[in-house]
Amino acid sequence: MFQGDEPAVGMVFRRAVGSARRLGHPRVGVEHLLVGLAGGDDMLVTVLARHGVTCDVLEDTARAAAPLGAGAAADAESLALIGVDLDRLLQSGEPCSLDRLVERQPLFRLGSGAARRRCASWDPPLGLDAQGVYEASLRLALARDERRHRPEHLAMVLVSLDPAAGWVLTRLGTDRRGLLQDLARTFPSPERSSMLRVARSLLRSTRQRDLVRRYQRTTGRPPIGPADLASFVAA
Amino acid sequence: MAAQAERSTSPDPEVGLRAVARLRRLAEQLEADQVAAARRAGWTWQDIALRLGVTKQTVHRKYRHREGRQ
Repeated sequence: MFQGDEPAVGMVFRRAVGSARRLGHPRVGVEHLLVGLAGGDDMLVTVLARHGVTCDVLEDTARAAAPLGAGAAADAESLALIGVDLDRLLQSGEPCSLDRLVERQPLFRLGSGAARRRCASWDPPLGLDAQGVYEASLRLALARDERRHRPEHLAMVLVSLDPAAGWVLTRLGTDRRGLLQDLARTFPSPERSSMLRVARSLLRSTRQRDLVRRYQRTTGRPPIGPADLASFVAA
Repeated sequence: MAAQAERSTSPDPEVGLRAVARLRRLAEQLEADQVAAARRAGWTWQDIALRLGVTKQTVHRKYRHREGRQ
């Protein structure tokens, strides 16, 4: 049975909040989440360090992305390619207007509205990009038939889906695909009984589609490599 | 005009389509911000709908749940 977050996941978010506070940033974004992941003391830190992703360089990149964060920086680069200047577009907006959901919450909410309000009440508030990554990461842990949700699931979602993390990795000169393969090799899907393996295989594409759709709905950003998720969920 | 069209068409459809998808979402966020500002300034749903080129019912249905959350 799924038992929810490991305490290490909470520690990642605490380190992310600490990093945003230390840097004086108005929101906790994906760049701070990466700092939280790289600042731990587990196997994941070794994998990230192998690809040049360390706390120091990540905090430098977070400084460069302030105040709107790496997500907005990735947006600005992508929109510039079709001739749109994001800075001018947002001139009249408030600094965190990118962190408000436009769509209505579903009628049958299951606590999602309360969870969003809780994230907004953090000091500094947790950005929609980081919330979307957490949601997708939980779903990935379920799709892999894991017993617990762990920091490596957050890393897998960040590297395979998130454009803001993609922007950070590009700035660091990290080979995203190499990191993706290293993560898949180091953290394979757990071995389960034949019955569960059949269920996992049958539900794989539906679960991945659902995960990607919800991620996009929450963050408002098209994922960078939705197909890459397949490497983390063994058939 | 031709230069603008040239600039707004990325040579790579993958890049262009992703950018347009993001732009659509940003436009929705900007619209929501402007509607909220207009409501705070005392505008009626009818006035707002007229400027957005939609019916009063459409704008009310879309944004009434945000009233009181601003």
